[in-house]
Amino acid sequence: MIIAERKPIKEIFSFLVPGEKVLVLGCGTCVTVCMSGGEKEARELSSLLHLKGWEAEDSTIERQCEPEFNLKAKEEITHADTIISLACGVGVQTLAEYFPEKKIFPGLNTTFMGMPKEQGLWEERCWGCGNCTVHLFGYICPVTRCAKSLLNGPCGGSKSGKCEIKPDRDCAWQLIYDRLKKENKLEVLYAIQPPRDWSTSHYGGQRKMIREDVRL
Amino acid sequence: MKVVALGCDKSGYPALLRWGEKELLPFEEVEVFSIPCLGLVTEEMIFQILENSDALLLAGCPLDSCHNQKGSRGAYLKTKRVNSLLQEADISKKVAIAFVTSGKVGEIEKVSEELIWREK
Amino acid sequence: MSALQEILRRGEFAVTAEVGPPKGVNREVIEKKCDGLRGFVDAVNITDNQTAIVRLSSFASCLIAKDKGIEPVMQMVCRDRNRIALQSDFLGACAWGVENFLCLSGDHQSMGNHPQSKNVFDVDSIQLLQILKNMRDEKVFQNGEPLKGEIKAFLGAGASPFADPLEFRVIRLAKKISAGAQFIQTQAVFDLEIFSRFMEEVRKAGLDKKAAILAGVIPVKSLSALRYMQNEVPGVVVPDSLVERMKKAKDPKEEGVRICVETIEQLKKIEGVRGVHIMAISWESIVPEIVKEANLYPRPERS
Ligand code: SF4
Ligand code: SF4
Repeated sequence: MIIAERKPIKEIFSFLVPGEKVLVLGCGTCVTVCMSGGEKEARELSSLLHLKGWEAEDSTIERQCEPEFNLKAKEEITHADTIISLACGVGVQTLAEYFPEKKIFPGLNTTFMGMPKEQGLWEERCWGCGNCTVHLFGYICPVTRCAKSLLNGPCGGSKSGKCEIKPDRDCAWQLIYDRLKKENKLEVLYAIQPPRDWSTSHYGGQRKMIREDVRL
Repeated sequence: MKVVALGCDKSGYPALLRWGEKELLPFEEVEVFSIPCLGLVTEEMIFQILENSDALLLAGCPLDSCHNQKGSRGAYLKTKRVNSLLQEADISKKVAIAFVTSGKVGEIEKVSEELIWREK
Repeated sequence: MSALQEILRRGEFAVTAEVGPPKGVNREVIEKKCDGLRGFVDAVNITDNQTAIVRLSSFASCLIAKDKGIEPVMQMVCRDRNRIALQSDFLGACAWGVENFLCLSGDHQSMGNHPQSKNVFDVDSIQLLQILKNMRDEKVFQNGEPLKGEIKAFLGAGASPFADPLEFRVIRLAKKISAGAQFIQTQAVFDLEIFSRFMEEVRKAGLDKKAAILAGVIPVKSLSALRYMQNEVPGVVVPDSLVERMKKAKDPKEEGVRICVETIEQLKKIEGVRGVHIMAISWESIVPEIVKEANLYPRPERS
């Protein structure tokens, strides 16, 4: 899922003009699950705005990244002067695309695609590189999880399973090595991975998916 | 300073009443309510109460002997969360939680002083 | 053929020294270091924004070293340049007569003085080796297009015998060699026991026959410097016995030199070690003394 975290409240306040009607618009999918922009968080933020003297309401729609759901909330959206979107960056942009006349601000910082590792801990897993080869690396994506996206093994900074950049980050290559060793597949690592074609990733420019078979 | 106090039936409410019998409470106005268990307190409720008061004082069973097991713990975590949000937003309102057994008011006194201290 | 390559080919024990460029434009800094080292080392190895701290470029510093009559090894890290820039700088350096290249991944920028920067890591060090080798041998760019002219390049890579996972280190070295590394420069050796075991594995895999391994050494000036090595530098292992020895030393500088010289003496005895690489970071002036004490002076003449 997409992981995001709430912006500092003061930054959110700084977007707003005294006296205006504010709508806090939550999103019911990824950011609900990662507890940063769901119904509960939208309500909390509108309560805080209220306590600070704004006329604030909150509403949460199922997926802000899809036009239909935004359009369904049209009435509330048009009623407000300013909208704080508690969706990921996709949600904010969808909302703004369909309500171009509205003042809209992001209430979250969208951080990564990842998984909940334990209660209260989320970890990045995928960069969306457009050419998945995770099966070659014991299902631990080095593009994403190695700080240097190394494809041919660990750098010289790996220490006791941790990455050189931060002692609380696992070295992806230690994980890859351990997993392949356990599965008796270390020989996979002997092959030299050639330079990657990054054109399928963000580096190839904004990406589009076109499916002629489902187009109307 | 206007304070709303919420106590659980089992321990908090009786203790709050006893505390209320004291002649000199440190707040101008205190409203006391009972609730079956602090586990029922939600963040939303806390915010609603704070709309019309300066502080909320919760009183419930001690963490390890909560009548409903997780009630006090849940309320404690919510209190922490709401306080940190209030603080981050620079709103000088607050919630405090006192863990009491029905007879003792000492904990409530301590916690209420904390509310006043934080006011200053 | 570069002097370094020739010396190694003749089977002589090679000596190189690391030279860190200045944080500024004063070429005299490099010139002075080179003047001090001339005659005592076979080549100077010039770092490429080491530890992700911005310095005068490795490329330009290599040219300054050449001007000073000392052979440079140009380090290239993958952190800051993509395959376009790396290939282009390689061509440029070759055109200027730089003949030794050391391909490294590079320290992550979060460890340096511009932690807010983006990194590149378009290719990793092994892929870079392969690219440069193909440019030299097959006369093609990474994309397969032909390039013009003769390239003389002696290609090297780093090895980190002390970093985790330990068992992977020989595999990785083998990959580097098959990708094109002709010489290997290791992370600094303090723990000879681990290093000997590493070399044993290297010999078992026959890698010492395929590439010339230069063992890294670092002379330390003080107990705190040694402790820093022990605790902070990725991929360096310092045994406690050395720390103890340093603690007792009356003259820590002298002890540091002695430790370094003794280490070199030991390294010379390890089969497959073909030279040393002295990394006297901001203490380059000590290198001549170390080289002399370790009986590595005078350096062999070029034929
Ligand atoms: S290889 Fe690409 S698509 Fe697959 S997990 Fe890694 S970043 Fe995601
Ligand atoms: S320590 Fe591991 S995860 Fe970190 S950059 Fe090096 S190889 Fe990648």
